[in-house]
Amino acid sequence: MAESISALKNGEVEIEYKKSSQIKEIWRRLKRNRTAVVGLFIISFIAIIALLAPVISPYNPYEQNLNQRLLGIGARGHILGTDEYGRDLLSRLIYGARLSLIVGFCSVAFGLVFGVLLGLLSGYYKRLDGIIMRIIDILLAFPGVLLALAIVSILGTGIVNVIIAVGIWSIPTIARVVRGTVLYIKEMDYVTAAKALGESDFMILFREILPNCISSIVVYSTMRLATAILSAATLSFLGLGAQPPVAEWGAMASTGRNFIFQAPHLTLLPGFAIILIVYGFNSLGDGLRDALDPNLKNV
Amino acid sequence: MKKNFLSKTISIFLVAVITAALFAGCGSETSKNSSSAPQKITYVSMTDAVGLSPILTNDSASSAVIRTVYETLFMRDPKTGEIKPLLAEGYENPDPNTWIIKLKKNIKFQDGTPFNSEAVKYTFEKILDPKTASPRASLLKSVDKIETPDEYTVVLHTKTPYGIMLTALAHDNLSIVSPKADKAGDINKNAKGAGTGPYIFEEWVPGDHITVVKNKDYWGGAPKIDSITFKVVPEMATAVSMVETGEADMLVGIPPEHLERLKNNADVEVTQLQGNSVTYLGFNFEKKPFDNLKVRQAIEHAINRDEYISTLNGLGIRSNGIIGPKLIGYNSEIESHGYKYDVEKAKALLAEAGYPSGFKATLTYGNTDTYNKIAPFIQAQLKKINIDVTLNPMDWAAYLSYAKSGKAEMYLGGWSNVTGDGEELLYPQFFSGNIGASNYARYNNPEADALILKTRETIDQNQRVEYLRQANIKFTDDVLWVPLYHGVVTMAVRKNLKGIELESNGEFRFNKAYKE
Repeated sequence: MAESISALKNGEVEIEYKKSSQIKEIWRRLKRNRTAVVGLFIISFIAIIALLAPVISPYNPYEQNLNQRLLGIGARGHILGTDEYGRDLLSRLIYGARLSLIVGFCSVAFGLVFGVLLGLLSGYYKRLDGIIMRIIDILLAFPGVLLALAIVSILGTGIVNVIIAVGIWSIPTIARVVRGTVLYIKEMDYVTAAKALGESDFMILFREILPNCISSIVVYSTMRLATAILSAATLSFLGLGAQPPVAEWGAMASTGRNFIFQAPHLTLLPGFAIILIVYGFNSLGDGLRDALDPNLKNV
Repeated sequence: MKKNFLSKTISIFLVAVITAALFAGCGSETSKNSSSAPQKITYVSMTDAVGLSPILTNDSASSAVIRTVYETLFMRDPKTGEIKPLLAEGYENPDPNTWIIKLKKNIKFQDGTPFNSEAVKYTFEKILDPKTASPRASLLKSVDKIETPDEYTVVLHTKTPYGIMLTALAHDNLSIVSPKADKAGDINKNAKGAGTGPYIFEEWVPGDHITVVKNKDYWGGAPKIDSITFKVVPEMATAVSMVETGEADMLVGIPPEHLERLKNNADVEVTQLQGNSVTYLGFNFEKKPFDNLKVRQAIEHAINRDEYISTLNGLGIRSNGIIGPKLIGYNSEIESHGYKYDVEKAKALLAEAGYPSGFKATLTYGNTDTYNKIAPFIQAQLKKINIDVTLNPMDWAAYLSYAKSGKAEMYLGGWSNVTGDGEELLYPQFFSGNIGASNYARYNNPEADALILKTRETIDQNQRVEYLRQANIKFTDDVLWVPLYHGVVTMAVRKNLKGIELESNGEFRFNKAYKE
């Protein structure tokens, strides 16, 4: 008895040691991947801007001044010009970053809570697998942003509803990814060992299996952030998301369209901001996948 | 070897198909230019029609279609604004309460039903029937009894003198419908054969387009245009570029930001004339705190209308009154009434009204270009006096029924005055009997009602105009609306399309249209 306890303790120590070296190893591999570093840089840059929005934005993004409307890039006092109500475009872009990140993280978190849970249950319990996966299949059958669109039409417009809609839309794919990993992990010796030791299903799921799914969840969530931000912007572009006067990139691009011949920057700059953040998350996700893949030790 | 042969066959086949397609393309191209080719007009509109029955609709998108299919007894001359007979031959007015209208003979509805006094009686009685819930029943409300002494004579008896009977009879919503077609089906959805007009309804794909085709047997001579498509393009920028590229032939109501571009296009003719429409901020008088005059005054004081009008590139005119400069009943003294932009005064008034720290309210509007642009402006202006406005944009048809049922708090609207008379604004919008129909403000004031009735019933024109003047001052001072700006109507037409005249109410007819 005493022996086995000490063995276990040793094991824990070893795991801890392994963990820190693992993170170092991942970081080392991530650093080597140039696109991933660029992605990480973009994301950090946008995150800092979003955090410091009230400090760094030159104007109140909601303050209208119709005498100074539709100014171009480089106008006096407004580096990126002004929109159709004379609101400072730079300030609105900065506040838009805030909203995009919040929407992205919240909706992915929403999707993760339910998606991971469903994935775990479905992967572990064969009996639940059929029914859960069929429901997931139905959800997956909706093409692209259509499902989110349908949910928003039911819930009504607004940012919170967009978060819920994009979150729900994220559930099926997350569940699928987690289920796949669980199916693989549950055949591992240490799971069999845990079962033999009489651990409860709950403990096995959350202490043995879930931690080992983390890398695929992290990779997938990062990529998903890009999709979530893009679809939230799409919904706002279609007028279903952020309502005026909220500074949201998709909505800004949408209203700017009316002025595309006089002031193309009203559409192009928010569009460019969306491209930037989506590219950032995608390339970071790509890099993370390579870095976290245990089969690519020598990269 | 075999494979080679196969690929050869396929390539020959492909070449044949492509050549055929090319020839087919050329064919249709040449036939387009020849004079015998069908002449088609594509008209682009931001909103879809609400319905196709004049009895059941009251919006510009529906009217544009209704005007091609149906006709009224009288019409306004597009140039002079004078009332002329259309389906009527003439009228007599033996006493102020009797209108004897002679009808033109030998006119048939498109479904073959003869046009006669019975059809007129049927149409008007249906409008007056409360069960129909016609949104423009107000136009005929004074009519008590309709008689048909013979096939081509209609006698309208009114309860009280109705000074503007003829302008009312020239209103699109009093177009005469075929009793047979109306009884047979829902002409609001399918108006085939239901009118006497120059075009016959063909199909309606909701949200996409409505098509009408030439009525070869039109009593006024068959039109030159073979078919007109009313295409719904909710996106203004898209609609404008469709006219620019020739994909569409015309649109009305050019937004200010596209005006210059269309004017500079050599293939497009832009018409711009001062209209009689008014764009306003309205209040629901049944909801607090909008029943409070001081609150409404504060709101008018808080809105810098001149600043907004400066963004319209000349497509809006400032006038303080509810009855605008182009309407009968306007008098320039109204410009010394109303409430000027003064934020401090607005705050003071709001405090006096008992809202020193403001309040929350929603602003409802149809999500078309015009209102989508105004709403955030109003929101920002009212923010300055601590009125926290939530915007509630709605689909056009949904907005109309929402406002009608009195759910809105504040709302944005526009009123194009079809008859050109101030009465045609005051009565539908502010007469208590029209609550639940066109009185979105749900304004119910016996004193105002009495004044409005005078503007309708007085036969002496000078006296009637005097009542309109009084009403304009009273209603402007009471801020029944905040008149944001008075309209300028615009129309962009491809240069090869001729014969369409824009009227100051923003309407037009396709009767004489032709393509060069």
